[in-house]
Amino acid sequence: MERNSRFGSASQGQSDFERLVRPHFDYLYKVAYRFTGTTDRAEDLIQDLLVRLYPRAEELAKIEQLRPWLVRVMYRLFIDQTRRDARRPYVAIAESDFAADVENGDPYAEIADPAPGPDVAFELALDRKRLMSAWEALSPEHKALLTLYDVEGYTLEELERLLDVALGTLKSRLHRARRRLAELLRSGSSAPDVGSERTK
Amino acid sequence: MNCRTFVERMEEYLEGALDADAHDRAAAHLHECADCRRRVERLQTLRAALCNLPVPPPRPGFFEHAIAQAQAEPPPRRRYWIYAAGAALAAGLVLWVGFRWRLNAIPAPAPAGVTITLNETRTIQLSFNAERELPGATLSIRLPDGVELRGFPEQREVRWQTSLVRGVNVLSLPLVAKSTGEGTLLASIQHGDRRTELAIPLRVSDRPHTSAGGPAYAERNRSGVPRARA
Repeated sequence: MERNSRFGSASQGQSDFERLVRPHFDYLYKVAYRFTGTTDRAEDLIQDLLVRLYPRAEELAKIEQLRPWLVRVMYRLFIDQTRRDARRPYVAIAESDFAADVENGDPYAEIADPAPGPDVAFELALDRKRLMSAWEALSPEHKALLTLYDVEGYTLEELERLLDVALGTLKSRLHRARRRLAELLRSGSSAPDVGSERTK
Repeated sequence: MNCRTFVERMEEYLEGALDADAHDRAAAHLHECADCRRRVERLQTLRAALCNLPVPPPRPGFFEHAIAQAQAEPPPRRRYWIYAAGAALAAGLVLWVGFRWRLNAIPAPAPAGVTITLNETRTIQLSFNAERELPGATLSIRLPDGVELRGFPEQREVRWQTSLVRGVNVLSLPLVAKSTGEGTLLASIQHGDRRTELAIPLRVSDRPHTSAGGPAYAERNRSGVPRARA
């Protein structure tokens, strides 16, 4: 190990790690909460993230844009944990061609009902309680994707890199997630989200 | 530009990521098309509403504790499965709940119970493995006294139709406990004249739980890392 390492002494290394992570903590916690839905789970996710990152403190110090990198690691951790929770091997959500989605049904139809006078109904559907219930009923994958794109404002290009997903697939998943949320809102209830998956 | 093309490119348009020519065409379409304007407005309304959903803060001192634990713990080499019973139950369910008719004749082991804290929402996941595609299946959830499915207040039974794909189908159930006690949640799938049912013991506690019958506070999280105390 180099003597002039930035993390030369254990105590100095610890404080460097804390200094690296602390500016991003509130943000990471907020995202973790939106992913998981409860304080307990959000704290667990953050805790697991920090445990994994601490041995990589020197690597973190070299990353220019640390926040999206941290989000990427946390997202993968979250998805891994979700899959492990179900104790099933990784399967991909069935992909569909985005164009076919558009052709077969407007992915925004549920969100953008063109009938006259639906805006008021849509506004009512977005009252906080109903939205929270609908959000809660989303699958973890849908929650995570909508959190990153629609809430946290990552661009498609950023999410392609962050999630290692091609643009067409990303858009398809995004529209599916929004469609599901719109279904839950419009039904006026929180019908449980049955996420269908096909084995690769 | 027509609506279909606009919809395909709407995200890029709103991000400002289209080239100048495509942007102008999209803007022109938006100017002329009330439907697409409504689509954009609704998406923006939805986004604003999602952004405004509250995020409760972590427990006081959590960050300091989490940092201290990160420094104290060795890097995890193996996942420990000591998360609260709901997740473990969901995992266990995958092992033996099969929407495979042949399994109906094989006695299945009784699942461990799930503990829910009073007035808190707890989401459990059930996985149903279908050997083939099953359109028009009916899912039914019957709840014990004191437990509701979020969004269905005071309903003891909730039923809906769905299509199962071949393979794993995951059902997320956000449960809300309204009174303490014990009971059984019954989840069933009916397709044609065939039916599979799953019984899950539920226990509602008025204290934060870790697992049925366990200590009131989980000492460690699902990966075995000690939790920060409130």
